[in-house]
Amino acid sequence: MNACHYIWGAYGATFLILVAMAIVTYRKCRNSSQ
Amino acid sequence: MFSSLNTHLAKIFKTRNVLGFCKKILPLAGGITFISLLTGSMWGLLYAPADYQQGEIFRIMYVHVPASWWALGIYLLAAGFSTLGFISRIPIFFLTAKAFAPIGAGFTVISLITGSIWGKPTWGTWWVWDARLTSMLILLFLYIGYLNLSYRTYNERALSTASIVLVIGSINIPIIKWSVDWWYTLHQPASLMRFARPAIHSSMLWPLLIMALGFGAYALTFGCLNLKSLIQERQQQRDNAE
Repeated sequence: MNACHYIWGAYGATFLILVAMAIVTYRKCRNSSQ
Repeated sequence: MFSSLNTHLAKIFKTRNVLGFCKKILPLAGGITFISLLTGSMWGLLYAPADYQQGEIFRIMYVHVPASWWALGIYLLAAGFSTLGFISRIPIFFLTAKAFAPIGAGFTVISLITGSIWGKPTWGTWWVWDARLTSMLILLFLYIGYLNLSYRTYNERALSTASIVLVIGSINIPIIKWSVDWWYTLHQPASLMRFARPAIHSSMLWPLLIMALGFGAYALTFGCLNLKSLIQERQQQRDNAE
């Protein structure tokens, strides 16, 4: 593996977790306000 | 003295005021999150110069470092709100700690994963039980312990009991911060948050600061969204009980 793979791996994991947390939080907020 | 402080705090941190603040801040914080994370990532990945020692791999810093800073920052914030809750017995402080803790736990996971990915090409290993990495893992366990204890509860007594984990666990924060100075570790010492000039050139520093702003705004956005839903859920639980 070269540096590029590691960099994309790190950014991919980061944004995956950020987006997942955002979706879970948003859905929780939407459900609670219904 | 404490009673007058409590009266002031109770006035400022009324549930209605907190909800109003959350509603006002959400679009602004959300916008800053999106713009900062996009700009910071592009700048860090495409325009920042390569490191003279590590080459391109150092670009992982732009996600690893802000996530680590805010993992610690949110923990301190949650422990601070819990302490305010203990002093004033105002439940909103415990709810705020509960709302921000999952975001901090997520940032800790990001910090550990990206650190591990960075460690493989630079140290030759994914993981090593050195002081910085181990204390960061302990931080994750503290977050998990707190989240587990406070899960699906809005009761002030239960939340304050769970918050004891946060407050006692704060002792881990200085250990994380200075572990690289106190012990010989594979992890490099601080380049920015130190009592001397930053050991990082401005061309590399700016994208880092923008990413840090993005992560902070993300925490504020989703922490506020979480707090809003916790307040509503608590209200629903009260309504159902009546």
